[in-house]
Amino acid sequence: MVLGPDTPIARNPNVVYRELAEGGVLLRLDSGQYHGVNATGLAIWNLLEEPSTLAELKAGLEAQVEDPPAELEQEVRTFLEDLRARDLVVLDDS
Amino acid sequence: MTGACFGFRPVSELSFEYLRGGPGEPLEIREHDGNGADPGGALVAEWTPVPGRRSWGRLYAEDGRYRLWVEGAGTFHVDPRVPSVELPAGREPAVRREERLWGIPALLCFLERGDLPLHAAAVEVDGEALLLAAPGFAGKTTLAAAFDAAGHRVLSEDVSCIRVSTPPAVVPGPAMLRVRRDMAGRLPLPGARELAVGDDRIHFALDPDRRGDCSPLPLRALVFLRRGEGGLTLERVPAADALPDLWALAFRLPTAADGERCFRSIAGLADGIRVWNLSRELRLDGLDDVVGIIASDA
Repeated sequence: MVLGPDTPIARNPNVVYRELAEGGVLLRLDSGQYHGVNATGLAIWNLLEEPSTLAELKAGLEAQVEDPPAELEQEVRTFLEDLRARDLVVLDDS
Repeated sequence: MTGACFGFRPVSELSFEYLRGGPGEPLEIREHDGNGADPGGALVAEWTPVPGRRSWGRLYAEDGRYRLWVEGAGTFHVDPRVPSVELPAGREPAVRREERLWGIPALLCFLERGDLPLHAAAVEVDGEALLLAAPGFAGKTTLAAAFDAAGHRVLSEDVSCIRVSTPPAVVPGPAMLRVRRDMAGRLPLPGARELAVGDDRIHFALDPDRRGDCSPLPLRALVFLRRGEGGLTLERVPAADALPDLWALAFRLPTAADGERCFRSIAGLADGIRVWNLSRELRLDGLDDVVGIIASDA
């Protein structure tokens, strides 16, 4: 399934996360694999508390920063594709 | 000898060698003859044998109670909710059996209490606890013995009980040191009494005046012990980088809920204390320097 602007994305229910002093860390409970995230990645993860689309995540981030970069959508897409490759998020095709 | 271990006070007719002073929460300890039928339960953990170093062990769970079977030692029945431990009678010398008691059975009881079990030794420096973390056979006990020789109190030598509070703390465990036979003759232990000699270890009990009690000590730092060839170095580890190793060293049950509990505990721990990588050559003549750099800089 392709990650389009309107594809719902959800957290993998087997993932727990913890915010640290610098960024945060995600853990897949079933595999024990870790994934460190920076502050922006953690902001995206927090926005995924409910299933969201790429467009909604972009809008949510734009509301949190004063001068969002022009390539913000591509950066968010790349981050989500990375999380998806690690099975930390799932594309909600329901 | 009365006293406590990991904050538990044995309520028992048996005698113990490794208790510290002071009070503790009651822990019922008694013997069983082990002739009952297999009580069943789901297998939750297994330790495969390592010749000369580790016996074959299996942990079963049913309805909140546990059964730990150890090859050659028998079965320990643990109910952490009471808490209570039943020890197998007549299988091993009392010292060896007590050492097993303060391993998995005690760990299950303090896990139920909300504490975090970590495969690490712990020592006291200036009223605070330092954790010396490494998987088995990486020099934890030898280094803990070196701290003892330098006059520091050993709080635990294999499994540490971490009180996940703010700030985190260490609850002292058994007052013992099981030193490799090739090290025991070369490492002075003025404050310990030899209790038993095993195939690969000599078992020491700390002298009473070096045990203290089980009052939790604030946790200052955790030091991962690494083997290196380029001299002695101590480097700070960011919290996120420390988590994979802490995950590997933390005991947890194979359930999602306990995995999540464990993760939150170690993440809070990594974020709340200083974590270090100590790289050193495994040389007996370098131990004093290792103790020195950890005590002063960690």
